[in-house]
Amino acid sequence: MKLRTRPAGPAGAVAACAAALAAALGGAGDARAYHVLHVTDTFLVRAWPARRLPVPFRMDRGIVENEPDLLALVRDGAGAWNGLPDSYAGTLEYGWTPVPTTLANVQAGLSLNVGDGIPEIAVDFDGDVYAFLGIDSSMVTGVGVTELANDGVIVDGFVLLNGTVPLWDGGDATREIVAHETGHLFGFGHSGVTDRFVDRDGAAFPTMSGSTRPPLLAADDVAVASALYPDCDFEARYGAITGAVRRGDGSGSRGVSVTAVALDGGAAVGHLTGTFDDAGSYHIAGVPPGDYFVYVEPLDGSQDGAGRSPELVDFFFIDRTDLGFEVEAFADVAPGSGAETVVTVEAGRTTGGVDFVLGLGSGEPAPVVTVTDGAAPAFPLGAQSNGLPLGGAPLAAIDTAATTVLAGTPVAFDGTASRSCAGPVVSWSWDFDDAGATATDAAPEHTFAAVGTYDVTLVVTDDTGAAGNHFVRMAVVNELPPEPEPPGCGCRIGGDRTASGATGGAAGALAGLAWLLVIARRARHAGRRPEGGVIPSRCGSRRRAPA
Amino acid sequence: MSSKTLDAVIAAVICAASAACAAPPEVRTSSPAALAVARRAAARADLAFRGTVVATRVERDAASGLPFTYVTARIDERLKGAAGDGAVDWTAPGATVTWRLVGGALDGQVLELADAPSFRVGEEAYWLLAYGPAGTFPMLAGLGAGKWTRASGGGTALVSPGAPGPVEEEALRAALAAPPVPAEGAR
Repeated sequence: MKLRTRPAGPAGAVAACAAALAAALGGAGDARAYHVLHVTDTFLVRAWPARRLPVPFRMDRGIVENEPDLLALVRDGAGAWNGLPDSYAGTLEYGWTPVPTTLANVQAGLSLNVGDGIPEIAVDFDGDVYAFLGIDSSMVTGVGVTELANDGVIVDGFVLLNGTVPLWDGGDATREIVAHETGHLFGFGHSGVTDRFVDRDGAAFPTMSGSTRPPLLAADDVAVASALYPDCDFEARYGAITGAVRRGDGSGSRGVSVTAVALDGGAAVGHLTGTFDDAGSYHIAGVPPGDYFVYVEPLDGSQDGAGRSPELVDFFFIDRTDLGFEVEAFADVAPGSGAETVVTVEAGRTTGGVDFVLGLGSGEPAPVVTVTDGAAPAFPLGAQSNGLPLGGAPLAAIDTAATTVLAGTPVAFDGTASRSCAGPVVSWSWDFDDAGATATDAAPEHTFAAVGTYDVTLVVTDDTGAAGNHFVRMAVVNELPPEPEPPGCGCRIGGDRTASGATGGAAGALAGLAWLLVIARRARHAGRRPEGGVIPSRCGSRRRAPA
Repeated sequence: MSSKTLDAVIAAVICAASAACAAPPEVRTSSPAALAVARRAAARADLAFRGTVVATRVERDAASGLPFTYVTARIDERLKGAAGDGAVDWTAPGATVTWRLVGGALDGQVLELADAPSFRVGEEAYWLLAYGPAGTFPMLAGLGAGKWTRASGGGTALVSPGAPGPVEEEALRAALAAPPVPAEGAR
């Protein structure tokens, strides 16, 4: 629980009350949160490119060699992200690491490799890998590491669990830890807003201090996946609130939390920003339709004006303190303006011009907030949401039972899971990288005659003519390696996601960041599943090519 | 009156009558959960000091290929750790200590450790470091729990990226002076 001072005015108190009420009525199941990088004049989500979904990962070979009982728990935790409502998000188990994750292997660059595009979920059984990485294994049960390209798009990463603690004592905790760290792998960070409004923690948000734990994912985790990796209908189902937060001198705020609390008590929506631009703009996306109080909470940066370097390293090492989550003040809403703070959000529309002016005085964090009405600017959700193919390029998906197959044996490929938000996929074009062999069936077979490595490429086209591509790297061998029965998940889509087209997102110098948080009700999503999304199913065992 | 407006009114009325609306007192006390984290980190720490970051750099480890951020801080006030511990002469004026943590921005890529604290030159904080195995750099005790900075507002509360709430400065100092039995874990 955080300290906070009294809201400085009656309307602020109302907003705080609404927050409290929302939390009280909403309960633990109603949280929803996500965040977005704010990069100068555009937004980039710290997330995987759409065409890399679901996120593939390799399981540490050392897990099954050292603690096979742990394997199922890790799988459950990582697999918790599959089949979420409204979302493309998901993980895909993609075999074993070449070597166990030991200190020697890490130091030799053979494990925790962040350059191959396939994250690893590994366990440090001795604690020495943690020490090598500079992480204290005595107090940390797991870490999530992501590798970002300079446009903020995730390209790789790893999860490293601390095997010096009995992770597998109590499977729920283990699964939750893995789900949490895997959330980092998706680009999720910690947040302080969630537990400001909802008295419990999510799996990916924020810290793990709560006494009540979700079985795996909390509603906010589910929502973050929906918001960062939305399916085609996401934009139509939700609305958005946009505006700007400026200081009294007109400059953009360097750090505020803009929060909207649903009047029906069902949702609290927040946006944290550490922007460095002059506009101080914010976007709250994925807002369920309804009426909201909107208010702003200044953070450290907005108070003292201390600029933070816009360099990459500064957005890399972000913590809650930097973003001022510990600031002990709520913004005030201008006296008598309570009604003006009510914003109506409609599905598929943006409520814009919700601007704030921070009145800074006497060093006290008691800004005056003015909410104005304004035009509703277009909300470029597709662009903001990581270039997801909302009406854009189709998502090509390759499903194959195994990526290591025997020479001379027919191999089945399935591209029917490919999809497009713009329209149905109407054509499939396969290149087997094998002496010019091609196919145009949605689910063809091909026989590789010779041992070798082949990059099988699928290009799909939707009825608007837009195309998307993907490939899977096939290893063709004379004899299948005698390894333990590989992962039981991901059999629906067995392809290598390592080379799936260009990463989306705008280029340009990073000049800041913003965190966007939305808290909403789980019930809204209950029972819904992505429509045609590429979600790997769980299954009992992985198929092998016939011997 | 629309149902939405009615909802708003009801919400305001309920709130006005509820304890949830009561203005929280301006409490300056340690969060129990945060204090547990602080105490455990303090117990874990081999070196603890109030210090200022004087340099950071990111280098790629040639063998592993991983980028590491090296942080050098000046010891402004030693709080735990005997003089001359390890390679650090705590008594020397302007003594510095360097630790490292995987991650950082290098060559157009960024490796981000989700739970890592930030390190900015000129930043003052309480730093709690633990020795690793021989030949390794010190590391932050408890990762984020190894850094405590003053909360805004000019009070005496400290906050940490590894803790779920504030801790009074004196409580942290006391913990460093007499580390209690480790309590709650963190990640």
